Amino acid sequence: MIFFRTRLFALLAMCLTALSQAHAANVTVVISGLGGSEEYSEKFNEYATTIADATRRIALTPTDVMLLRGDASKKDILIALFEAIATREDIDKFSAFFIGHGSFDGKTYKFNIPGPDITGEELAELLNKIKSRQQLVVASTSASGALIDVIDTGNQITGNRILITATKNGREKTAVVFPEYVVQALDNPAADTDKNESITAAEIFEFANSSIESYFETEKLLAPEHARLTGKSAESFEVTRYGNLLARQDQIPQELMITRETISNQINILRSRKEDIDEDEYFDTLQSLMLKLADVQRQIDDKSN
Amino acid sequence: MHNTLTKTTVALRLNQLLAASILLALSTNASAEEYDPNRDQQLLECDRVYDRGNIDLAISCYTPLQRNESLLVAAEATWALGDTNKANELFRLAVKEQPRNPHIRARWGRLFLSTHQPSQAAPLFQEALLIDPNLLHAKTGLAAALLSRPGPEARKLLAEIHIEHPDDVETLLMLARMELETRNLEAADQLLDQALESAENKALSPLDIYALKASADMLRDNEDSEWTKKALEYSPSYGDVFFVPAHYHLINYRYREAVVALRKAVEVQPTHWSAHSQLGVNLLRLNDIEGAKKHLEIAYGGDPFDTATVNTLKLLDTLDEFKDLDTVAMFRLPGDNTADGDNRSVPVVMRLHKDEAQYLSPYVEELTLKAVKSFSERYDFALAEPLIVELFPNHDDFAVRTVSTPGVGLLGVTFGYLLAMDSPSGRPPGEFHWGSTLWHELAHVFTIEKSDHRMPRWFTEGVSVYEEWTTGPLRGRHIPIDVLQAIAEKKLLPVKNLDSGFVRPTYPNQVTVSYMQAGLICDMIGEFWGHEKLTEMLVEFDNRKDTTEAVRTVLGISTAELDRNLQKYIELKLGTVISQFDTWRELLTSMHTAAQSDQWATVVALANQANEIYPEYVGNGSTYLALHEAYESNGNTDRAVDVLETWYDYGGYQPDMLHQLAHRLRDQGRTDRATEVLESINWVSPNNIDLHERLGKDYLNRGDNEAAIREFKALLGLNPHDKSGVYLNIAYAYKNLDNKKLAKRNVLQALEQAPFFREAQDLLVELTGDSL
Repeated sequence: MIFFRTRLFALLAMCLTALSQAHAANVTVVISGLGGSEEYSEKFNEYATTIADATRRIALTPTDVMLLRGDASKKDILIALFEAIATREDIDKFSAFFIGHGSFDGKTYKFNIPGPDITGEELAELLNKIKSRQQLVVASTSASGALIDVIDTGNQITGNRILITATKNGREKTAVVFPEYVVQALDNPAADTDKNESITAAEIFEFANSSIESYFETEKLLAPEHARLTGKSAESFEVTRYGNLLARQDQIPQELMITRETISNQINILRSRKEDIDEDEYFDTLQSLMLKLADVQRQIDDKSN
Repeated sequence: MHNTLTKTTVALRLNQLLAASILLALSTNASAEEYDPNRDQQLLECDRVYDRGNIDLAISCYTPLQRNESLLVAAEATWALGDTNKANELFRLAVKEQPRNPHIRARWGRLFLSTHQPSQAAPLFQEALLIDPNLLHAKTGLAAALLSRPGPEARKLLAEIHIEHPDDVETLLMLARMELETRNLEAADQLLDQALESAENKALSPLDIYALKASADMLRDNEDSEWTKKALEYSPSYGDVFFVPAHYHLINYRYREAVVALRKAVEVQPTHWSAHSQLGVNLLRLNDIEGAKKHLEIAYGGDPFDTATVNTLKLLDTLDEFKDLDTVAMFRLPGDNTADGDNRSVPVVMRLHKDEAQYLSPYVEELTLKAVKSFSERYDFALAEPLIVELFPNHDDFAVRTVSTPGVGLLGVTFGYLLAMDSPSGRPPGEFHWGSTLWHELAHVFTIEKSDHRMPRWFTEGVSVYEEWTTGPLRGRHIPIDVLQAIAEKKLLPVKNLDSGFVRPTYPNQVTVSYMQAGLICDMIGEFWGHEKLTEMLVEFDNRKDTTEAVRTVLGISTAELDRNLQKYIELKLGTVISQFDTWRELLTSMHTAAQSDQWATVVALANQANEIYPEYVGNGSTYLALHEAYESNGNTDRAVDVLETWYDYGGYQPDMLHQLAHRLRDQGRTDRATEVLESINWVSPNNIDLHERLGKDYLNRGDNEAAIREFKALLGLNPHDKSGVYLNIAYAYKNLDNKKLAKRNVLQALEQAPFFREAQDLLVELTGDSL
């Protein structure tokens, strides 16, 4: 029981911290690389635009989401943009989405953009300059798995970085379908597994990954791409919102949100102990908590309406 | 003569005496020293000691010969003592020393035959025959090696040898075995009598002949054969006298009888590793897993090179990954008006891989229960033992389960009350209609058991094909093009010889042709004489009647008349396509050529002409999919849907096209028809998340809550990304069925996955009353 209370307190404290930072900036950069053909160029641009639109829903200002397409994604422009962002001190969460083709020659990963390509090492250097509490890097390109060894998610500076790659290594070089499913996840209740109307990095990854696995399994085809997620806290890195939470986010009282998170945490703790509890007792307790949560949810909806 | 028994016994004793590291048991009739006219005199003396069972003396006789100055004699002695690896090396050296000696190569080939490697034995016999084209021992060795392969080569070669050497005992025995396989008992007896006479004249051991004589008696249902007694008097531990007849039990589906015979084989000859292996394999077929394991391990200990043993032991490890799911099938027998008549039941065990048990079991259960209900009534037979249904996602596991070796092309097999088949995930989507395969195998259970495993192969296959066509889950009579061609070329066999088309095919697709011919015969009997005649024929087979007698008794005609009736039936049902086969095939070929160059008007014209000849054809290269593409290319969507619907109505089952058809029908507002089409995909390719999600929602919308629950549970078995929505839908279905308890449990499972799921919260509040 002591453990339960201590843990609950810690989780509650985390929630309060997160809420207190609600007005820090969420900055996103979405870069659509070189398509190589009209079909791919159109697709990449469409994906990038959809991602930018979705991330704008949780940005403090629309200008916190930057979209680079066509010649705007040239290397010098890209470097200049990252260096400009690196001067900001107000960023809570920074996200970078790379859409396009990547290559890997056995040593170096390159993101294909108009003009000279940008290497994995150069990208890592740019990302390391960004000062933010959390970072999310989504490399939706072929061979992007090569970045796992280049873009660090584990040291003291970058410990809060999450890296999602479309492939497991640099040798998976065929054009990937991963970004198509990333885009599908952004306003899809099916991707929102806890149905809190907030789509996290973990939910995007899981949705895209399971959709790809399911597709290749059903078709009895050998999957040419295997997405990977490295880094911590992807389940709490919100990428976008949809539904009521999005529509009424400014009208919801904070104390209700705190109560909602408190009950949610109690549910999480109960779920983690499922194996140790008698099945009927588990579901009775779950029912009681779910009814409380439903009540809070109803109050939130009433207030927001 | 000496035999396997004595050799393996020697090997075992030697193992105990000398602690030799590699000692092997040898397989039945493999070395055939007795038929080697050039065998060294010293070896023959040791062989004679073997034959009468004086093992210690035999060891003393062979042992010094291992160091004989003749490498061939040393190799033979080493082989006799069980060290096949060393014997192999000695044969290699002997061939190197005397490269032009065909006899050494022929004997080396026999060593490979004895260690279950006929494909390596054959080239050695062929090399020997290049040196001496008349070497009989090499010719018969080659024939023995070829017997392990399908095709007519072995039969052809044996016929040639028999003309040249009419009294050769080994040839006579091989010919007799083939006759026994097709139950030509009189022919087999004649050959065996000749062999006996010849063996006596040549002072050869009669043991192999006795074993085949006992097999012929067994096929006449005489289990107390005088030949068994004679064999055991000659050599008390001659296991082959039971092992050889067991083979004929097995090819006639008599697994219980085979197990009894194999138990006797290992009882008189505990070192008969092949008998232990076969006993293990067949106990597994009777669902005695522990017994199987015991004998397979004994077999492996004695002969680790027997691939059947090794493969089946590996399979036993794989079976740990399977789950047994129990259910009960209800049935009623025709004319049973007793109080319990409506409550008859039989337990069913579905043995499914744990990864697919959840999504597959609802369909396996549904079809199995439906089949038991239908076939019990149609064949007036009550299953007396639990029915075991096994589905293997890995085809090679299924193949090992079936014939102890991977790489076979079968889809399913029935051993009586146990059937095994490929699971739908075992092959690419649409490659086979698993529902039809399960239906086919379940029909076998009834024909095999009702006739007490006595029906001929053609009849059980014929009934299963007939049931597929008339009562199975797939519409239509599906006859492949190459079978139509065989019919057109008049390649069908007389019904009294039809079993040979399955057992000893003489051209590449003859097994398939025989399946279809058998199906057409049963279809014809059902239509011309009435379905009940098929049941009556099963009774006749159970009464130990053969095809000729059963046809005469039940149908009142000769088999020749039945053959003539079949011609008329084929004329009636397939006459147009058979008489215009070349034209029809040419139309299909031209149509596909036109489709490749996008000449859609030509495609439409040719397809319509082909369909006038044979509209029912929906197999590979069917006109309908080409027509669909043609109409789609021209933007004529309605016609495209029409042809796809016709294709579906005739029994087309390619899953991607069925999905497309369902989608189009939904666009047209024909939801019920779309649901029907989607439902049909479950019997082809159920491993599809979208399918179950769509079907579940369709059934829920139209109030078919049981079906909706089945679909949503199957969906959960495929581990969908969003499980909460699925649980919620199951909860709705239970709520609609007034099952509040399960509705509440499922809505809680939905919320367990997604605590903020408003719709689920609302349902929970509704189900728990005014709890807030």
